Formats: sequence, C-alpha cells, structure tokens
Amino acid sequence: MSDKEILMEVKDLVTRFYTEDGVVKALEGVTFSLYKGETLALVGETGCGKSVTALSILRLLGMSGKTLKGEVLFYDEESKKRLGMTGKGPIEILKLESKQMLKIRGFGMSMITQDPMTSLNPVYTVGEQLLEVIELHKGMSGDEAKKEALRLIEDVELTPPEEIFKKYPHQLSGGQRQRIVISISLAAEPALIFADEPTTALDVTIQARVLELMQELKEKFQTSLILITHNLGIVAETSDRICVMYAGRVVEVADKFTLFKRPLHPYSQGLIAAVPVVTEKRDRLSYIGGTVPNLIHPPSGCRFHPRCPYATDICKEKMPELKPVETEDHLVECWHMDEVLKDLEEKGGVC
Amino acid sequence: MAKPLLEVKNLKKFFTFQRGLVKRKTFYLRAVDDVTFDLEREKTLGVVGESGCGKTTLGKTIVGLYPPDSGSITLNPNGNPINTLNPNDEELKIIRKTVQMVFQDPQSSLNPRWPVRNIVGEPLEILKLVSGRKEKESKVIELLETVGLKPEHINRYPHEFSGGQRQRIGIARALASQPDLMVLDEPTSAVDVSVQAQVLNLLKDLQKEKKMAYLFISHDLGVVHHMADEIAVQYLGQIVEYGDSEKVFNNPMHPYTKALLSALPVADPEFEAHKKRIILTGTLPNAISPPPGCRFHTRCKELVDEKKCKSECPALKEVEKNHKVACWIYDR
Repeated sequence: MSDKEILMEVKDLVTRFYTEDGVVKALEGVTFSLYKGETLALVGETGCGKSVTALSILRLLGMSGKTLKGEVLFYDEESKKRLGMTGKGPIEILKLESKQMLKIRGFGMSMITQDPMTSLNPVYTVGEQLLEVIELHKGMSGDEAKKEALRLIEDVELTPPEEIFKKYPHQLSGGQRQRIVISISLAAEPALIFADEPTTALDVTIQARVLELMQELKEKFQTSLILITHNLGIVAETSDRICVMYAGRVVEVADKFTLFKRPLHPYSQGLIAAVPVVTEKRDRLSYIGGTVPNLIHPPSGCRFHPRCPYATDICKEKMPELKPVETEDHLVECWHMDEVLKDLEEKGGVC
Repeated sequence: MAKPLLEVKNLKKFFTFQRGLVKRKTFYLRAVDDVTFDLEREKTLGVVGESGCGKTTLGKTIVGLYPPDSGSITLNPNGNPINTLNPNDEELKIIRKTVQMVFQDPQSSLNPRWPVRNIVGEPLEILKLVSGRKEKESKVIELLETVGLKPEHINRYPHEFSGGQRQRIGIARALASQPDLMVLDEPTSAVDVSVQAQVLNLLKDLQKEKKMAYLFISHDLGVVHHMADEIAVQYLGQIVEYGDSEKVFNNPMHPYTKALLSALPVADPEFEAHKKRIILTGTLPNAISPPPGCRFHTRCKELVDEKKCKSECPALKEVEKNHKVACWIYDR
C-alpha cells in the first residue's frame, strides 16, 4: 500500500481521564496511519479506547480527559488552504488553536455518532440543524443554503426532502435519523469521517442499507472513513484495513483479508475465534480467558499478558512495539511472534 | 412417540390501548398473531426477527408473564399435559417449575438491593424446593458453581459484577427450579464477543447436562445459527418460515428470510466479497394496523400474484421435510 497517499498519521497518542476513582490510562501510545480514500476499522471490546482515540483526535474529550502526548498529523491540502495556513508540512491537529479546531471539525473531519437520538437536538428541526453546518462551514445563506440542505437530504435517500426538512428528530425512525446524522456529517464535505458504531442502534435490514449508503457516499465525496465498531461482521463487510485495539494500545494492523485469515497477535486470534459465523458450524466457541483490565491500574508491560497464553517474564516488564511481521503492512506488537508463527505452521498456516 | 415438551397452537397476544380525547377508540397491537409450533425436549428453537416483530412478547407469553388472548400453550413436563391458559394454583406451580426465563438486560432484571443469595434463593423458597436456611445456602452455592461463579460471590450485590457475570446470575436463578424449558431472551446482546462466547458455551453445556429445551430469542443470526436446532423467523407477529436450522440458513425460502440473511454482515471477508445483497426498502410496518394480506407484501421483491399477496394471508405450509414457509410462491 506504499503507493497510496497518507491522509493522517497518529503517533504515540497518550490520553488520560481524571476521575474520582483515579487516573484512567485510556490510551497508552496509540499509533496508526490512514491513507486517502480508505476505510480503516478500529476494532476491540468495550473500553479498549476505540472511541477515545476518535475523540482525542477531534479534541472533544470534555473536561475530565486530556491528551498528554502524541502527534496527529493531518495531510489535507484543502483544509490547509481554508485555514489560511501557508508553508510546508501537515497540519498538527493537537497544536491548533481552538478557533481553528472548530473549523477543522467541519471541512477537515466530522463524526457520526452511535445513537442518533442523543446526537440530534430534539428541539430543532432537521433542516435547522443541517443549515447550521452549511452556513457555518460553507458560507452559504438563505435560499442557497436551503437548496444545499435539500440536496443533502436527497443524497441520503430520504424522500420527500421538503417534508423531512421540516420534521423534528422524534418524528423520524431510527434509520432515518441516522441518515440525517450522516448527511450532517457530510455537509461540509470533510476529508475524514469518524463513524462510531454507526449502526449499533439499527436492525440488520436497515443496517445493511445504511452501511451501503455510507460506502456510496464515501466514494462520491471522496472522503476517508475511520469505522469504530465491535461488530466483526461489519468490519469484514465494509473496511479496507483493520486496527485491533486492546486496553489503549493498537496491537495489530493489517488489511482485512490478512487479519481474518491469519491474525497474528494472540488477542486478535482469540477475538476472531470467539465470533459465531453462519458460514461454518462449530460445536464450541473458543474464548479469551480472564477479563478486560481496569485501566486505572493497567497491567505492566504488555497489557495483554495476564490473559495471553504465550506470556513470559519479558511481557510483564516491557511493553512491546508495533513491528512489521511477514509483510510491510502487517504490524503486530508482541514479544513472542516467533512462537506464534511456529504454532501457526503446525496448525497448517490458518487460524 | 412421546408428546413434545411444548405445544403452542394459534397463539395470539394483542395489546390494547385507547387513543383520542373526544372519540375514544380502542386500538389493538398485534404482537403475536396466530403462532403455532412445537418444541421437543432437549432441542433449541431459535426465534429471529427485527425489533418490534413480537419475539420477546412470544417468549413472555410462553413463560406466562403475559396472559394470551387466544390459542393454547400446552406443556408436557411428565406425561400429563398442562394447558397454561387457565391454570389452577397447583398447575401454576408446576408451570413455574417447568418454564423459566433469562432476560435480555441483566442490569434491569436483577434487583439492585438484593445480594446474590436472595436473587438466586428466591425461586427456591417460593417453590418450596428447599427447607431451612442452610439447605438454601448450599443449594445457592451449588447453582453459582454450575454457572461458573464462586461461592464467595453469594453475599455480593449485582453492581459488583461485570456484565457477563450478571448474566450468569440470571442463568443461575432460572436454573434454580430445574426447568425443562428455558426461554432465553437475547441473553448475550449486552456483552462483548469474548464474553458472549463464554456465555454461549455455558448455555450449551448446561443444556446437555440438565437436558433442557431452549427457546432462544435473538436478532443476531450468527448466534442463533450457533445455538439452534430449529429456527422460526418472525415478521410482524407471525412466523413466516420455520424449519431445521441448517435448512433455513442454507436454503432460505421466504423472501423476508432471504433478505434478512443477505443483510447479515458475516465476519469472513471472503464470504462478504462474493455475497449478493438483497436490500429491503421501507421500514417495518406498524403492528397496530398491519398491511392486509401477506404482511410482508409492502417490502417484498417477489410478489408472485399481486392481488393475492395483497388480500390473502398465506398459511405456513411444509415445502420440504421439516421446512415450512408462509408464502404464496410455494402455495399455488
């Protein structure tokens, strides 16, 4: 994938939440890069830091959260032009002033949230909420802005647009609401969209259409997508590459075919084996023993070591780094890659 | 041949409510509308469908949490069939012992003010399965151990447990009366995949060990496929397809089942790449005024006989062995 252009690089992101119970070490050095036009999936169980990664990049952590360290480099020429930045090099998101950040959160990146009922304002009509974004980020007003809003509603296949425009969120169904959220996130034509569990609240038949629609719109608007989900089925369906996260670390990065066929990190292997699929009938599901660690007192060294079948002393002491294994694009962080590979050979190469 | 454990015939459950200030009108929400099926001992029947199709209502009606409006539910726990429609006190007790339920959300189905001792012990006490505190305690500990919890958990409160553990408490409570039939309503929808795998394994082990039958309600087709021997696909209160799990999954016949299966994202990218998707347009119609005729006709892509589909409701008909479909395509 080296011929592809990089859109964003995230380097060594460290985020903490300061709570009454103690400091939650939510992200501990998250590193990944995103290419232009691709869909990257962040996968992992509840509390592994998927959403926090997105919020850290968007700088929407709220009062209790803080990003202590790290770099987010955003290589989008369009955003640079519109921010009035000259000079070479990418935009350093974490160093922007909050005024600039407000602008970036429109034409640079936007977000589709999990629950459309809470992310839409119940006291404004759909149209008003769309107009707000259009007026702010596109500088349109009056009839022109309304025309644009109607066009956006049409893009997400809601008909008739004029009627939807006047409706309040509670008058729409869950699928329709999520479509509106998608249209709002697309309104300023951002280079990157974060989709945080976009279809968790929807039924399968509606989910299928919403996912397809997102794919079509992504191609039409030429945006990149970071898809955050715990549903491996959706990942297999829509993503290009996958980042597996565990307890605030990215433990494995690979393209989706490799990751499902030949996962190398012990955690990814466990995660993929735990999902029941309709394509094969298994008598028992395998699972990962133990529980997700408490991130106020995370395990030392590799955070997966208390649950890992390969764990030895070095895992308890030192945190491993993401390194390419087998191919350039398959990154894994594990001290015992040789043993994992040897075991895979014995099992015939596939997990 | 022995009678099946559970026989459900023409079961109907409507919810009524009134609307309007001046002209008060009564509306009926047809949550379960003419459902018929049998469930054999030690088998699992998976019930699938979109939200609002009446899966949960079906489960709750079978357990007896909702009184059915018409039809019959017959249980054969030990050779004497019991009709659960108008049971007397004695029969009700047997029904309670025979059928138990595990609820979807363990957070809201466990009393937050009670320790596990009371939660799991309550059914033992009410059904008079134990005498004395000591026996109750030892029985509760035994139940906790069966579901993989520890004896010292007996004095803890629900909030001290993780989601997966809470679901285990719910299972222990249901097991207390040694039921023959367990109704599992989305038992793993609130937990993560790796925990889900543990809970599903536990349920499979328990089924073998205790020789129970399961009515497994879920919208996750992957999970249902893993658990069920037979599958019933429900749409707007009616069963549209019913049959052996493998037959329904490998050869879905009803247009709705086809669409449902094709919409399911499968965690297998190579399978996904070759899959043809049938996208349903429109949303689930309102169950208060369901469309006339076949209820699926408003979203159906294969209307064989438009007039018939829109006016007459097809009946569930055996198309191949152990595979029934309610569609005019197969009924001409």
